[in-house]
Amino acid sequence: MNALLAQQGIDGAIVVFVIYCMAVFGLAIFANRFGRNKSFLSEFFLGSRTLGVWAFALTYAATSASGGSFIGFPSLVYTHGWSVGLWIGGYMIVPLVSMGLLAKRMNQMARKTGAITVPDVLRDRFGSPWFGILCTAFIVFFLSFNLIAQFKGGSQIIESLLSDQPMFESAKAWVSSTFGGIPGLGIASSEPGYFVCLLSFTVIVVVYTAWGGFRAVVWTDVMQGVIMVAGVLFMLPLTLYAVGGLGNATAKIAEMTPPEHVHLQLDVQSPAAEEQSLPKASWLVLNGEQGKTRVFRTKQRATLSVGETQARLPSPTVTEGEDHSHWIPVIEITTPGEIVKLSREPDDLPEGWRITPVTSEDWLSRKLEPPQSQYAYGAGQPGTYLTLPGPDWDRAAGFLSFGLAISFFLMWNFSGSGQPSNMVRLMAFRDSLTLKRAIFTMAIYYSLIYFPLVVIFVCARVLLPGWEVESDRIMPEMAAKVTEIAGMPWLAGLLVAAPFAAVMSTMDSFLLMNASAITRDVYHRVIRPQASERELKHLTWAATFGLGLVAMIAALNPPKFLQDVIVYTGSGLSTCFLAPVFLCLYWRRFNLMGAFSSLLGGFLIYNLLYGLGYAQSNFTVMKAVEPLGLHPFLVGTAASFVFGIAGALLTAPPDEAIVRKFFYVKKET
Amino acid sequence: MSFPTKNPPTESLEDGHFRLDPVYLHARSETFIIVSLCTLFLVITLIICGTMGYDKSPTEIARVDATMGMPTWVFWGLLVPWIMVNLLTILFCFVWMTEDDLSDPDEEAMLQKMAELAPSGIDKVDEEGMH
Repeated sequence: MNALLAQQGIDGAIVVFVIYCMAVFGLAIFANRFGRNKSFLSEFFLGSRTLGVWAFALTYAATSASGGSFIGFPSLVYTHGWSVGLWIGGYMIVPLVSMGLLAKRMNQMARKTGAITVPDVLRDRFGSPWFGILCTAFIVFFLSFNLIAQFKGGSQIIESLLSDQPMFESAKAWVSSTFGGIPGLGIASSEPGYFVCLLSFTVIVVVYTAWGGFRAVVWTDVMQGVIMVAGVLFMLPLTLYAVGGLGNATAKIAEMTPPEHVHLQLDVQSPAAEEQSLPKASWLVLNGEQGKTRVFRTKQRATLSVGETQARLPSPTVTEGEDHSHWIPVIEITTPGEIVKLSREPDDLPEGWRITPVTSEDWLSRKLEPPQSQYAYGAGQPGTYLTLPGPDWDRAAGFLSFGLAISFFLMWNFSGSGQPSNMVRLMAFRDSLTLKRAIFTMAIYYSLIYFPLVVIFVCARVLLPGWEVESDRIMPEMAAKVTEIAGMPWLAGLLVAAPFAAVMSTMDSFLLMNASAITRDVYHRVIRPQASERELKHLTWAATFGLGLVAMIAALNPPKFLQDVIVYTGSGLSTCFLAPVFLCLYWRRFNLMGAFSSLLGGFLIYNLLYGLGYAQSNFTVMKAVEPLGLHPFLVGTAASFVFGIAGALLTAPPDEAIVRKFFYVKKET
Repeated sequence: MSFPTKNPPTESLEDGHFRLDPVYLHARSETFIIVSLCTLFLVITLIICGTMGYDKSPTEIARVDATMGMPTWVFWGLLVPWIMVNLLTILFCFVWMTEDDLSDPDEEAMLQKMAELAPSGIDKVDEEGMH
């Protein structure tokens, strides 16, 4: 049964990827030609402030929707069921809040000052180059970590989507043999797939970003945005058709209980004459005593070496000094209907292999504590995937406690507003009519993406059981499954282009943002204000290529806790920038001291919460303390507002000329 | 630490040849509406989902309370508010939100910036217009 999903539908993934990349390069070349007769910096970093409705709405939406929207989010829905609907529920009003809150004033202020970057605006509003430099430093600090993490994340996603493709396997073999021996490139032989994807991903993103600048990024975002929504809109009816309607799926999900995580011993009677392997995600059926049937799925690859009688994991698994790599981790299906259905199909166990479940006694006999086998919340409870707080492996209170639901609703809305990469886009739209139409367009766009994604991947539980073993692959697997059921396997290639698009549209924006910080905020505004356009152009290209190269090298050996780093840096930027930018746009009394207090206060509180959480875990997990169950972003932002207001009120009001410039207009005579 | 002895210089500015920027005033009131709407839908969504979706007993779950094929709390707590927000967004964008002129009337400042951005920028401003 595993072979079906491995082979069907996504054979065209590489072809789609290549076509997609060609389209991206085409747009970059066109954007480059388009901007030739315009002022370089304004065009390269802001598209000359001429974004129309579609470009503005889709670049904003596509930049916000990272790879997580098409890989991590589906995985989350699959694992926790309908409760993820409330988790993402705040997105119903994200377009209005994240665009509407700051857009008009941000755009107007940027025009008043000729600003190209967010630090440009802040520097001119407070008349302080030092504040501009501090803002740039914060952006570069957070975005550099994020860039490395996104490069790694993007490469992993592409590797996941291309795995099992013959052409990709050949490329892996070539890379391993060609680069494997080079000192410092050991990863080319240990993880050739990741290396291939990282290399190709870096080249594609860096080249089209450097060549076409902001306009290329926006145009590719538009294409990527269309691909994303088309992918979802194709998948929704196909999924509902495949499950026999949403009501039917809901009735089946009501019976489901979360799987258990156990271990099996897989052995043969006599020593193996040749090496045999059981791939990850293989199905195993055990017809035990008293007619009880048990169904398992492997979480890792198991190999039976020549001369051995027990299959083992690829690398030793040592606990308390003892290797137990012959205990293969699996999940056990616990829903009665699924057990009956799956046991009727042939399993993937090689001939002659025997299954022996590892029991608690086996662990205890080795003086080892038996590992957790059941979900902390939802185990053995039918209906847990339909209700709140949703099943969870770690949290005894369930996936989404009421406090967390409030926290996420607010966080989705206000953290988007505080992202400098979003603020830059607010500086680039043409006029307020464009803004009105773009908010409306984005509201429809998000409605067509997020709610349908919840429906699709809740239904995936019915169509594809047991993918808890590798839930990040649920998107391409669903694409393959539903197109195969509908008799259109060729469509799967198109559907898997959506995650490619989501990853790249976020990456290019972050790369461009960092390049603008170096070129505009540091070099042009501080080091050499008299720099020529040609000089700035060359520096911009060098910065884009350099940053891409550095991020790629860092991603070869990425820092620990990478996914946590993405969360930390993403919400960290919003925590630092939302309050100072909001207050600088709307409060006349806000002054330089208030801005410093707000920026530094938010940064300190946010990092204090992370520091305490890290210390609490004995420096093993990068996790923040959450006072009253509130996300550090909310606490840090609240603190940033308090510090900003207090800092401004306790010091002298801003200069009259500045207030006049940004808040007043001349009376008509 | 110096404590301010007077309020922001708004009176003197408004008394003279200046008035508050209408874009600022409109944006400020629109922000108030946006934050109010966000709070309203946070409350609506969480009240409905909280009462209908959380901590159901096994017998309640077994009944499979569904509306239009999805759990009832999802329908009333997420789908209906989502549609309402979209309708209000249309209303906000095309009825409440003012169509302001965001361009900067101070042409001198703009020309100066263009010159700063590109040595030949002033020539290009003539060719391309201000925006």
